Amino acid sequence: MKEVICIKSLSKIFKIRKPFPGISGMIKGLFSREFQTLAAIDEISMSVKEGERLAFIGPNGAGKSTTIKMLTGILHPTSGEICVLNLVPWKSRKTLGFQIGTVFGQRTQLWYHLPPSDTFDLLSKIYEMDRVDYQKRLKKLTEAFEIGSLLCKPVRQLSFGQRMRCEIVASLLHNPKILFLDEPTIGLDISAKLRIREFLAQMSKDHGTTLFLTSHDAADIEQICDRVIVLDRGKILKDCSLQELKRTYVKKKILTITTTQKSVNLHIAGLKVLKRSDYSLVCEIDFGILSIQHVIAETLKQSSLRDVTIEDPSMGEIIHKLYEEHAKVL
Amino acid sequence: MRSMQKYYKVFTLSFSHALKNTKSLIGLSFFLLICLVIFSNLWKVMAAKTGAFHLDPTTLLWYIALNEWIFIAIPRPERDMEMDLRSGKLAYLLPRPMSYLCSTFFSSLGVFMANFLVLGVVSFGFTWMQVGFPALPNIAWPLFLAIGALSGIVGILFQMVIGLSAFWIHEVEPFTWIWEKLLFAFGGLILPLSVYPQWWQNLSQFTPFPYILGYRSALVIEFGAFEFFRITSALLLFGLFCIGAIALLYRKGLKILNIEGG
Repeated sequence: MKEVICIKSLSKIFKIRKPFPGISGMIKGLFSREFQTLAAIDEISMSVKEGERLAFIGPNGAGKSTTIKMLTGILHPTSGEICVLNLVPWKSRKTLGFQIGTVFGQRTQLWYHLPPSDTFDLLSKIYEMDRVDYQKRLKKLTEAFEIGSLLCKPVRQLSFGQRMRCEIVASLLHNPKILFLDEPTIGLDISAKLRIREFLAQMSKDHGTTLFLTSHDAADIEQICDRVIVLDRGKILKDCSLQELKRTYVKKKILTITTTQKSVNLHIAGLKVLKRSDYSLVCEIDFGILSIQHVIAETLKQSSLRDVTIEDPSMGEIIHKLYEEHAKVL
Repeated sequence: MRSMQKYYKVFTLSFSHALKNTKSLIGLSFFLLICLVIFSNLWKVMAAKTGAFHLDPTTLLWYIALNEWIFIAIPRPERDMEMDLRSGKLAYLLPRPMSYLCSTFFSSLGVFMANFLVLGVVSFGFTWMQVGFPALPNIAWPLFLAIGALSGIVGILFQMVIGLSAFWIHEVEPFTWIWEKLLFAFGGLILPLSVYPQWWQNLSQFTPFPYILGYRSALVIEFGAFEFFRITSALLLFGLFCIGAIALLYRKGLKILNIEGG
């Protein structure tokens, strides 16, 4: 698969006016200007292949938005190379604009008092789509995102989840090769979140659209993406597949055992009981010390088993751990 | 050609969006009617005391109606621009293959035209019911519409200049406030320009405010082809000045965004 994004030693340094504290500082600021520099992005390199579903994550102020702004051509780098779909974004922003799409969870492109079909029509003009192609594409997306009944309702009458589906259709209408998603499920209820994630992952698989997702919702990452890049203070902390991230950081599993005996007592090194109730035990297993097989064998000595479930820690916990580890190093 | 189609579509969509926003149109119409009632009474007293324009009630009310109609119809693009910048929506809009400035302008123009039509009916209708039509040549009425639209366009352009100041000052409200007060004072909105001192009247000639409001509306008092072309030319010149200023400020603003971050 060919590369759609290629970044080499990319840096972005902002020059920010230094604030002076207090009222005297405010007056001083009127007459003297002092600047400080801030390295928002510090020598990062990465590449993204066509059809990849990449989670680009990091704490606030990590440099995610700055990177996206450089990828979409809004900002130009202080140093380094950046290439998106064989174009230098800040030099060819308009040309690139035809090939990329953006979904920003908290910002809307739909006209509030008009039905979504009017916005779609406008977007077909903005992206200079052929009328027949536009109709075909809209039909396909309408079916995929199940918005047929919403097309002619004013946006103000739609629920937030319905609106979000229309937002995504609006961003996909011109068939972008790369879709930048910033918190696409923020504010949605659980079922709407699930539907949006399913739609996005399926659409990417079907059409080979590259997804570039930033989100603080770990479930978005887990259910949509196959690769993760973790950014902090302008540097890449981790660039790996989702499985690798789990393998590296999942040292513990959650084991839920349902027994035939009312209570079971397990005192084993590496096992921590999280919840105990009649006929059931939830425990955390550090499998650097202990194997699941050993825990089950110990349980069987005391009772027969009705059910066993094994869970990984949530993606949120994994990411939190990664940030924590990095903070310790710094 | 395709570019123009985009902006035409932005305009038509914005126009129909504004028309469907009935609550806003009702609110503006109500506000216009209140202004007409208050200012017509205020000016009757002023006219009696100062002899301004030697106005008769018919032309007086028509002057006020033409002033208020355009003043209220001009939307507030500077507030949207400030929000685009402060909320980061600009980063969302810029990658589109469309000029942000043109899209903002045509979107505002759509809102203006909807307000222009609805408030035009309200203001002309109310004034006609109160005092009837003034004695004017028939050609004057379409020219009032044309020059009214032109002054609205120039008003939008000036407010876009104010909107771009958000790149530097982040909050445009103080400038909007100053702009409105200058329109009041130099535009002859609160008081007829003829009651101000001569030096004030002379100074106002070099500003865009009376061309957007007072001089344009005063055509209803004394309509003349020369005065019409003088006002139109001044509006076109101020419009061109704004387009230059907008292009320059936008380029500088984007540079700031690039240096200081969004």
